[in-house]
Amino acid sequence: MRGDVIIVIAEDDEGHASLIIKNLQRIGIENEMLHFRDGEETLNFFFRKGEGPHVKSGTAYVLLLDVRMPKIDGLEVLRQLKCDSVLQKMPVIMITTTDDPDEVERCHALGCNVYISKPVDYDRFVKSMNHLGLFLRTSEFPKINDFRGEQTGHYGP
Amino acid sequence: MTTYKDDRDKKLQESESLYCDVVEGTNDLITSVDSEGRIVYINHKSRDIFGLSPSECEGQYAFDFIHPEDQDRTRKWFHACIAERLKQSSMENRQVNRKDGSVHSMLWTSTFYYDQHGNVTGVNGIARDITERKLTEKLLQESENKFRSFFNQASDSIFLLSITEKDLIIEDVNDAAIAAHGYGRGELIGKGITFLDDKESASHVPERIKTLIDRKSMIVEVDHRRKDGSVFPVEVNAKLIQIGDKPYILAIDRDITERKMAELAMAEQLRLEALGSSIGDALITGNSLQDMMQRCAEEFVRHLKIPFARIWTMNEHNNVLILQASAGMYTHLDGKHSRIPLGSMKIGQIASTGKPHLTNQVIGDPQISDQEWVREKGMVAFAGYPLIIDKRVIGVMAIFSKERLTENILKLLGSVAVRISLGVDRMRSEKELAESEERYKKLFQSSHAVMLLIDPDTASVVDANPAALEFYGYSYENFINMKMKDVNTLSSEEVATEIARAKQQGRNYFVFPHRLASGRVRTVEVYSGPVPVKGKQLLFSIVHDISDRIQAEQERERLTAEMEQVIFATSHDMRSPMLNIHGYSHIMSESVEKCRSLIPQSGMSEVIQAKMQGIFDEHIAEPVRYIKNSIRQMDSILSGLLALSRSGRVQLSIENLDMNRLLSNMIGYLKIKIKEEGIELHLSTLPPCRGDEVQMGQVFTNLIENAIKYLDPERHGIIHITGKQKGAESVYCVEDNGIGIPAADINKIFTIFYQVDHSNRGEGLGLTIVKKTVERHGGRIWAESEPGKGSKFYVALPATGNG
Repeated sequence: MRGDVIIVIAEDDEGHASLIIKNLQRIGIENEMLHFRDGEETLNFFFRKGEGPHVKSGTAYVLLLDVRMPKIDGLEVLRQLKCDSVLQKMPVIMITTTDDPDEVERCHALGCNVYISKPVDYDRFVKSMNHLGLFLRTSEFPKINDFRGEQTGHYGP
Repeated sequence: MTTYKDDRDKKLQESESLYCDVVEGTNDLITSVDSEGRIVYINHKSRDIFGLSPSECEGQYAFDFIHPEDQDRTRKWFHACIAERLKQSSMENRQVNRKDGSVHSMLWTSTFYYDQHGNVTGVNGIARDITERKLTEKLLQESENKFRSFFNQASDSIFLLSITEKDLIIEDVNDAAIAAHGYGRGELIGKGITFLDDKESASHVPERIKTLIDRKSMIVEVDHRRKDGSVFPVEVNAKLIQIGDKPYILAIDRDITERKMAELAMAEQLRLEALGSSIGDALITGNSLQDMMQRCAEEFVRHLKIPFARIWTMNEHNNVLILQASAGMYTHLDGKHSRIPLGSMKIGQIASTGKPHLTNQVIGDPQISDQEWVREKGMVAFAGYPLIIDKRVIGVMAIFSKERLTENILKLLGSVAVRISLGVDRMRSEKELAESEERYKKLFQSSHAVMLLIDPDTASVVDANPAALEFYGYSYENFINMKMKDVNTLSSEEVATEIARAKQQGRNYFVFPHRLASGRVRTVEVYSGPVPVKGKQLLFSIVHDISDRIQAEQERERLTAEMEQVIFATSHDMRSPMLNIHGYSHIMSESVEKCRSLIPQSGMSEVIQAKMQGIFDEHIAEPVRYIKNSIRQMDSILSGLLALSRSGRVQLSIENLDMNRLLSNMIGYLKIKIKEEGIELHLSTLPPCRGDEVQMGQVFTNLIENAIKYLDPERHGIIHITGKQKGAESVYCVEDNGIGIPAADINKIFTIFYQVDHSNRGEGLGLTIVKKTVERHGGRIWAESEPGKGSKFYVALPATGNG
């Protein structure tokens, strides 16, 4: 993973977000990380809506997406992203406290790339984060060049 | 020649005058033949006999007139006469009339004339025409022959009897009489007729002789005795006849044994018919079972002229035959034959074999035990018949007889036995029916359950009990004859669908929406079954209003679902804060360690350093450890709750499961644990069942893990897994020899959060989930246990069908 890939964390629980960030940083991931507190903020960011920050063209993103969030939940976020011809190429990693197989199934069906659970047990949580870090570090992420039909960018390194 | 002629001439001359009138006036043929055999004289009779005038005959050979068949014989006679020099001889022969060919039988008296040398010189013959006499003789002979032949060939015995004062003496008998009586002719001729008469018949002979003489003829039946001593009945047709001037009796005896037998048979037939109709009467008009049977027994005695008859009925509860009827010489119903166990004595054997016992020789019959009684009473025959209905023996009827029982009587008794069986059965079922109808009526009227009687042909209400009228809100008059389609709001197709569904689900009731008089519709369960009422199959239905129950069930289901949702949401949502508590307490403890490592470098006094170390250890590190432990515990509980709420939502994929394969695989996964703990695990051959493979795997994993978990550490652990198909279920059992479950707890083990021992070995949700899963499969789970010995967990699941 290149250093300029921005890690977007959609997580309603600030504590969780902080634990994720702390753990990723602990294992040496120093990429820029953006945190949104619900699905709406997340969608506004990617679809350039509202007052908040917006996605930048020519930048590679990876989204760590919690399933259960207020306003708009992670599944809906995932669905909308995967419906967009450009954004659908962005990898989405589901991070959730549930291990409900039905939910895992639904996420995969909607096109999530990786599904990582947040175990309540912190030791296992740390292990999970280590796996996530390993995945992030060894993967390459495409740049989002434009997502209004100008598909000029390229993917890969 | 001249000598003869001279002699003749001389004689003629001598006698002519004397005999002329005689010769010509006679009716006899008179002729004179010379030594050559030529006719020299013949009187006028030649016209009648030969058809020629005397002058036409003269000069012809006398032999030429003889019938060809008689010529030889006549010639022989003639030569014989001459050879013996006879002067006179007689013979018969026939002469042929030349004119009309008629034949005349003639009796000749011939006179031969010889010369001194002994040569014939001439023959005079006088012949009488005996044609008439011959004819009469012939006819007589024929008649005699005929009579003889009739006499001898007649099938009747014929006696010619001469009369004395006291007896009739046999003068002649025919062949039939000899054959009929077995004596030779010589043994009979000269004997009195009383010799052949039976003693009784013989005594009547003198008076019969008188009667015969008075009346000239009589017909009488008497008994004759054969040489072998046997007696047979004869009808005597006797006539007084006159032979010469002596009176005789011609008796024609006809053997009437067969006629007698036919008469007897006819009388028996009439008797049997009378018996048959009397039995029929008794069967129809009998007031009670016992009355009916007693009358049947009495009819037996009356019509068959037998000493006694008895009928028993079978008490099916204790297999004892009870004497119900006794007629004839014994009429009591107590004593040793009043109660006969099945198979005991002759009667009990007839009942146990279901076969009649018939004998015309009770003396010596090994099956008739009371031989002394039989002999003393002079019993000859016994007939015992089982009374059978639907291959079931319901009683026995039996008779003793002092006379042989004929084929016809036995045949009738057989059919009477069938009729009595039917009668007993009818009487019994009528009684039972009356009783059951009475019971049914009471039950029907007083029951609080809604009951309807429906005619399946018209699908309308035939009867309804007060509870039904109250429930439906109709008056009796309005409800009766109401069509069920006006009550049931389903269409006929929907009704058929429900009936099919009930059948498929093995239910004995239907669920229908019924409309009440008020217009309200209630959901009811209808339990329906056919009942015969007065010969008609009606549908007896019990109707259960389950609307409230259904509503309660729906409410409960809704609440359960809601609670599950709450549990699911709560347990899920609680994980987020818990991750924070756990995570940050972890970070805190890391930070505490960092701080502690910094204390020595802080430059603080040793006392303060020691105090700080104490605070960090006791008041930060230790609390954090407790927090982390509690979080782990909470996480375990929440995982269980999540699994529980989820177990109700997982889609089941039901298929035929090979439980042997499933359990073998599972045990494979547990092998290491089993080996480590030194557990003995026995897996029997298991029947298949219907279930979801994954879910059933979890159920049995849970049960086996539980069994392992609660083994007694003091004993070698043994676990048995067995299974058996019982009806529509396959029942499996996981048995351990562990610590067991206290009796007080056995019903709680499947409830939420129950834990057998409170030493915190599990989250206590396993069995709750197992129970829920099993029940979702339409199965059952239960446990049996003895503390200190072990537990048995049973799981019953739907068995696989034939396919």
